[in-house]
Amino acid sequence: MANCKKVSRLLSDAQDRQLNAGEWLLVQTHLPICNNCRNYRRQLSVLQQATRALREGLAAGTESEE
Amino acid sequence: MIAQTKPPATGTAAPWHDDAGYLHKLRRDLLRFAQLQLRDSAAAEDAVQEALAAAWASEQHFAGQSQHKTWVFGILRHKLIDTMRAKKRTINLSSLSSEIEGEEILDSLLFDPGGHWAQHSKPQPWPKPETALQQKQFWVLFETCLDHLPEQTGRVFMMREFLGLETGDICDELTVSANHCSVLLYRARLKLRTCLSEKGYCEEDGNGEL
Repeated sequence: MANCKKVSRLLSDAQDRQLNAGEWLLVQTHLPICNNCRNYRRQLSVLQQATRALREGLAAGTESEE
Repeated sequence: MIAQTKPPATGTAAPWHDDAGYLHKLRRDLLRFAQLQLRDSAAAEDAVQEALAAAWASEQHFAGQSQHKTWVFGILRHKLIDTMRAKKRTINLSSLSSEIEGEEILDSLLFDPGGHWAQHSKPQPWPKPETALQQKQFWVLFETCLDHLPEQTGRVFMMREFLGLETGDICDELTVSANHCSVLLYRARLKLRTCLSEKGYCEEDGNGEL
């Protein structure tokens, strides 16, 4: 049975590689019943998009001296 | 100095070549990025200088400043990869394993024995990415937390997310196992979100509560 520790690791792995069917199923059955892990998934996606913005030179903070 | 005028190579000189304000900001942003990645201000300065020189020598044309900026950042990323390879900044395996062992403690802090989020570490709602990325406070906290990542963990995270390298390439580069790599990336993300949360970042931010 999936727990948050395992699912949080898989959600991180999913940003770097394709999950296999079993892993995907674990995540998909856990998320609907776990608000915490849904919040964590949102947090991961904020972090990912923030680093992407930084590396493209598009971070909002870069305009701070205007 | 970088704003020195240079005769246009063609009849359609890019307007930003003469925009000192833009060049100043571009340089500052490039430096900030290089410093986060290399954690060495002299090396960061060199990489930025080389990237700007390469960009300067090019006669590519762009639709606007933001497109130009993205392109220069792309050049810088390549320079940073070169810098890291040249320096053979390989991972120190003993310090790596001590970082990993030390982090078993992190697990017991974040999760209860049943593997559920511990009471104090339950992830709180954050704004949507498009909202978060518009918040100045988010960026201040985010960069602070990036700086606080342990060295090896931070390096792997930056290689993956800043330089856009594939995990397999990072593992090869640093001669660590694929599992180590993915553990380090997982730790880095856990630490970043924990750090931001501890510093008070949450959905109802904007109240300035720190």
